[in-house]
Amino acid sequence: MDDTKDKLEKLLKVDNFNRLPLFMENAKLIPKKKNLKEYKKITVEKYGTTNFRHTVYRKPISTFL
Amino acid sequence: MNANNQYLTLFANCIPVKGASRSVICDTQHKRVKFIPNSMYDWIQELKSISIEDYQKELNENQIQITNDYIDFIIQNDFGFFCTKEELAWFPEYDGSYESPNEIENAIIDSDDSSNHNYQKIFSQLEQLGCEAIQLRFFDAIKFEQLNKILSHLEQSSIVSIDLALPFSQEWSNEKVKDALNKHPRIFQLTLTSFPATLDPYPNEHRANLVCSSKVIDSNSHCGIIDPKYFRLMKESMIEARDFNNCLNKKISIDVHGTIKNCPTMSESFGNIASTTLEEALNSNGFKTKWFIKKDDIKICQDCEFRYICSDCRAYTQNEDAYGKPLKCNYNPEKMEWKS
Ligand code: SF4
Ligand code: SF4
Repeated sequence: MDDTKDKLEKLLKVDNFNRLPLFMENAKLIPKKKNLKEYKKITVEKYGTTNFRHTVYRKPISTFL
Repeated sequence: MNANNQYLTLFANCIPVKGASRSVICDTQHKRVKFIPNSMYDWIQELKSISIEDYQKELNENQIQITNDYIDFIIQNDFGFFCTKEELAWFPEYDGSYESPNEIENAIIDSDDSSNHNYQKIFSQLEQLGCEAIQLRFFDAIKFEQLNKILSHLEQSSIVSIDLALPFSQEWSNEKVKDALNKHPRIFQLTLTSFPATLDPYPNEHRANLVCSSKVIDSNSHCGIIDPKYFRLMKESMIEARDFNNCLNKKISIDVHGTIKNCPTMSESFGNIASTTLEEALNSNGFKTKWFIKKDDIKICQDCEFRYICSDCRAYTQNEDAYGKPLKCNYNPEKMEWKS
């Protein structure tokens, strides 16, 4: 469980908004030895992307149409 | 999974918002909004500190069935997950307030045939303020070469996102549009207004978003529209909307006459770009006042479930009240109806 907690804390540091079922899955379903590379692979399988932290922030500047 | 001795928690990027008659869960990662009853919103809040089993102890059979349906809804939609009491502490809610290192985040520069803007000077002043996104709105036809010249000033700029709105003219063939978009990869969106109904809209197949609209946009009076198509399902913008005005915060504008304003449609002037710098305008009295009018302060919007994803308008408001609902909004949160 300590291993899991460490990873979790790492992820929280990177982005508090990251989708975390992945992590819960890590905690519950995936043997502790799994590393972040495998975590990424699982993420891609589940969500099609790991690119959650890089969405471009761009809101409409004005609304005229 | 036996959920009973478990806690149910929402992912931090799935943000529930309560309105007058219903609530929403805004999934800022997968860009989805789902409606939920207000009773479910209240239940989500209560479950933050009590396990499902303890919560259900006080309920009758019918109520238990309802909460079981709520649980299914959360899990099936991937809005939340089960955890133990110990794990609950590992998933703090996002409590951050909006922060940006930039003094200005975005700017609007309007022009028509009467305008005489020194774009190079304007862009360099915007860069000094950290501005990353600009919108150039042309109300009269502009030639390809003229536009190229203006945008060439941005080639080495820290302004990374350019929105353009310009009227269609014969010169703006699909090829010319392609050329412009290829030449200036910082263009985020190009809107061709007054697009002839007789022409098929140009294919939107570029890295930038290309919009062909038959609407005539010949002045700043067209701005201020509130429509679900402008909803912003972004965590940063939801957080910003909690504390600040989500149109005017960190915005600066220059109207067709070179007048520096919060937004080109507003009447209040903070000097002219010919004689005042943007920084001077920004630091003058009253410039930032409207930045702090947040949705929770605005009449009717404060009861609307869309308030943190909706845009806002302070130029056109009901009864010209500084805290009035945007005039061009047709939504009634009490009745949950959009009027056409
Ligand atoms: S305040 Fe209204 S008119 Fe001004 S930029 Fe915002 S939406 Fe447009
Ligand atoms: S009432 Fe209209 S303007 Fe206000 S938040 Fe709701 S949809 Fe947006």
